Order: sequence, then C-alpha cells, then structure tokens
Amino acid sequence: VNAFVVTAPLAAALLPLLLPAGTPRRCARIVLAAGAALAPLLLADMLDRVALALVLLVSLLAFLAVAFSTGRGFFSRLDGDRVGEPTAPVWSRVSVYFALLGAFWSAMLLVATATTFSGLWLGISATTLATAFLVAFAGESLALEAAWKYLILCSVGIAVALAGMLLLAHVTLAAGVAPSAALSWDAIGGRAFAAAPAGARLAVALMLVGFATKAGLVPMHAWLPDAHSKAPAPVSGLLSGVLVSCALYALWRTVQVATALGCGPFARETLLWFGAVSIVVAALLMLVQTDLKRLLAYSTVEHAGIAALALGFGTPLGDLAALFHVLAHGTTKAAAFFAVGLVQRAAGTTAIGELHGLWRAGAAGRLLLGALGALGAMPPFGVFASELLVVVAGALAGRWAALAIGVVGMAIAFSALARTAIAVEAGAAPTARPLTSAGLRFVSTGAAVLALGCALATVLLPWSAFAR
Amino acid sequence: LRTHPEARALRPSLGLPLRLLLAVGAAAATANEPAVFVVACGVGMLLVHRNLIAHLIALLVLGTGITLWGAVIAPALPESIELGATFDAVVGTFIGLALIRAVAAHHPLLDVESLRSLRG
Repeated sequence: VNAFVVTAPLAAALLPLLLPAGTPRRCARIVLAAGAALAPLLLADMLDRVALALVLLVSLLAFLAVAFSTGRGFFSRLDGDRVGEPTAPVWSRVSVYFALLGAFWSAMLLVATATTFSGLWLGISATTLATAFLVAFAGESLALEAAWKYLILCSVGIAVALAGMLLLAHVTLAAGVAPSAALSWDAIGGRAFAAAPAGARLAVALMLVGFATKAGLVPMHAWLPDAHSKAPAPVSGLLSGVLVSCALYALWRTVQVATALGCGPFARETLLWFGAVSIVVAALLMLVQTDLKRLLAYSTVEHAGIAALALGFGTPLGDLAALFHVLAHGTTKAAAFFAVGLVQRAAGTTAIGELHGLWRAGAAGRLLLGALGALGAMPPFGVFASELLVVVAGALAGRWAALAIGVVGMAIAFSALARTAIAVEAGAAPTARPLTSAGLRFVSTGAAVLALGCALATVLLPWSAFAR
Repeated sequence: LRTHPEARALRPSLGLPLRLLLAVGAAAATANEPAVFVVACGVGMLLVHRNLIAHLIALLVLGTGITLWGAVIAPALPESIELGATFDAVVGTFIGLALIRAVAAHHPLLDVESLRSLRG
C-alpha cells in the first residue's frame, strides 16, 4: 500500500502522455492527480498523526500545483517563454515539467511515509534530483545559476546528513539495536539509553546541519532565495510550502531520536538558535528585496526559522506550535506564490517597483494582498494563530532571549510585507490586461488554499492550551 | 575549455605545490581513516577549484568518501542504504552534467565565479 501511494503521483504524471496532447491530456492530468491526492487516505491507520498531517499537506498542495499548471495558457507567458523553442533545454518541455512534478510529489510522499532515517534521507535526496530541472525550467542564465547552486549546496547538505545518519547507525548498532532497525526512530525511541553514547552528539549535529540546509535555515540558506524565485510559480509554491515542511519534519524526527539518545537538550538548543538567527537575518533581507518572488522566498526562510524556534523550546506545546505553523505557512505560502504567478502572467513582471494598483486590477491582486497579510501574521489567518502559539510556547518555556529575537524578526518581516503590499496594491490600476483575465479558476485555486490555511486556525488550534 | 584563451586565468585558488602539501598532510593525519581522507579531498576540491566540472567531481568524491566511511563504521547496515547513496550520486552527476552543458552556452569558461549574479 505504501509503495502504491508513493508511486501514484509519478504514474499519474506519466500516464497522460499516452493520450493525445490538448484537452484530453489536460483532463487526464487533473483526474489522475486527484486520484493520487486521495490515495494517501489508505495510509490513515498506518501513520502517526504528524506524518499523516504532512502527507495530507503534500497531497493537497501538489494536486493544486498540478491543477494550476494545467491551466490553459500557463506555459505561453508565465515563466517559460522558451518552451517549445529549438534552443530551449530538453527539460523546458511541458511533458518533462509534469513528469518532474510527479517525481517531486512522489519523493515528498516518500519522506512523509518513511519509518526510518534511510527512507527519509532517500526521499529528501530524491526531491533535490527531481526539482533541479524544475528550478532551471526557464532555461535562461539566472535560472541555470539558481539550479546549480541548489544542486551543489543541497547535495552537500544531504551528504552531511548521510554522514550523520551513518554515525547514528554506528551508535545504535553498538548499543545492540538490530541492523534492520538501526535507523528506525521507533526502535531507537523504544530503548532506554542511560547516558548519551559516544558519537551520538556528533551524529545528531551532522543530521541537524544537513537537514537544516534543506530547510533553508541561516547560515545554510544561500540556495533558497535563488531557487524559489527562479522556479515557475507553482513549483515555487511547492518548494516553499511543502519541501521546506518536509525538511522541518526531518529535523523534528532528528530531535526525537536525539532525546531518546540522551542529547535532546543539545539538539533543541541548536535548533532554537538556528531558528532565532534565521528569523532576524531573513527579515532584514526582506526589507531590501525588489522582487516579489524573492521577497516570498526570504519569507520562507523566516517562517522555517519560526518553526525551528518553536521546536527548540523543547515542550509539547512548542512542538505542537511548530507543526501548526508548518501547516499554516505551507498553505499560505502556496497561495502567495500562486497569486504572484497570476500577477506575473498578467503584468509580465514580478519587480516590486514596476507593479502598482493591483487591488483595482482584479481578483488576483486582492488574493495577493490577502496572502501578504496572512504571511505577515494578520488575523484571522492561520499564520497569525500559529505565531501566537509559538510566542505563548516560548513564554511558558521561559526562553525569553531567543523569543525576543524572534519577535523582533517577526515585526521586521511584517513591516517588509506591509510596505510591499502598499507599494504593489495602491495607486492607479495598470494599463496592461486586467488580472481577472488570467482565469478565475487559478484565482479560486489560490483562494481555496488560503481559505484552508485560515480554516486550520479555527479547527486545529488547541484553545485549551491557552486556558491552561 | 583547454583551448579557450582565457582558460589559464581559471586557476585554483591554491597553487599545485601547496595543494600537494595539504593532500600529503591530510593523508598523514588520516592514515588510519582512509575514508575520512577521501571526504577531506572532496571538501578541499569544492573549496579550492573554480571550475564547475571540478565541483561536480568534488561532490562525487565527497559522497564516495562518506559512503566508504559508512561501510567502515557500520558494516552491518542493510545494503539498500549504500545502493540509495550510489543512486543519488549517479543521478546527481547526470543532472549536474546536463546543467553544465546548458551553462556552457552562457558562460563557456564554466567559471563558478560567473554564477554570482543572484545576490542579496
């Protein structure tokens, strides 16, 4: 069942190639992608709640990305002007795009359904391989530069995580764990380690650094703004909304194992300061951005930092806040990138200085304003609720210094998003074709994601935690 | 690349004698851990060389060293992990070569310094 669920998205991406191009193939893509998105329900009884939440997030957002990309005219002006030209690289073809999108989706499901670090590592590694060409999809010089940095830096990070994983296996094997379960978090968590075994701390440190590279935490974040800003908008939405979430999930699993091995405080403290520094650095860099997609990419670094900060508090409420923030941010960031994709399609640019009057230009402009407000943690959006939960968790844990740094960073990020929102939304409507012509289907897709993020705030928030 | 008139300017940031000296020093320091020496070579290549192909080879060396190290310290691990790491290295190499080929159309010297337009 697990293998079927993981491979279903890839199969759903490849099978439509058997049909003639045009409407039949487009319809088949959406129908099969919907089937692949529903398949994980078969695993509902086999996964723990956190893994199940990640599986559902992956499936929902990946399906929406496929639906967004399938829209008529998406490849004519948006992100891929060189599609179909003889000089374009082989990966700048629509069929290759969807095949890679399916592979990316499958790789993320592999991460979310893994029960051992070897499966998780293989999934994280496969996401890099599947998305390198997606980042380079446009085929122009800057996209290739972004893809190269992404491939090299993430591969180094993954190699570091592999080294940590192998050292972890060395430690657990020496402690008497069976070879087949040496990297299973359940098996490691089920054993009582009186004191941290030799090498355990180094193994945990290497795994944290490796997976933090994939999560885009400072100072290993250099690849993220480039890759997320140069990829096509739906891919950027997945990279920011889901792939970073998968890496944060890997960090959470590492912290779990570190706790079992007796070096939990070390892992939590490391994540706490990774998170606090990431929030402030990303927020300061958001102030100087001149491109909407790059601004959103740095916002992803900031939000990954918030989740890491919450994990670093080391309390159940902190862990819950981190999970809730990952879900709320994932849905919101995907909606934001979809909205920017619509703006880019209509206006032909994402340069903040060249955009104005989007509020009057159509539904996409309003969706973008909602997404920027949501990312700035304005109520009633999901991110507001999750950041509030993070602050409460930090206060209850008594981690005032890291929390203060984080809150200052959040305030700076809010001001950067507010300033950008005013710049692009206010003023006279652009003379270019109105944004409503971009297709209400796309707008409703983004709005549905945003609404889900908002709904998460009211449905999932553990209000009883505040009462206590 | 070798026939390009400006290729001579693409020298590694450390001269050959110094690189050899460092390699010998690293080999002596890791005499009992050959896999660690391979990892050090990979990291050194990534830091010193300016050519994209050299960086790709460095990545392969780094991955190979770590896999070897794993085989030494945890020999009882299932072989699927080594197979996964090998698969990752092979596919990553092909993707890297495809990207290098496309980059060469814009930057024939394949100088890593030419890939610094995206900043800030």
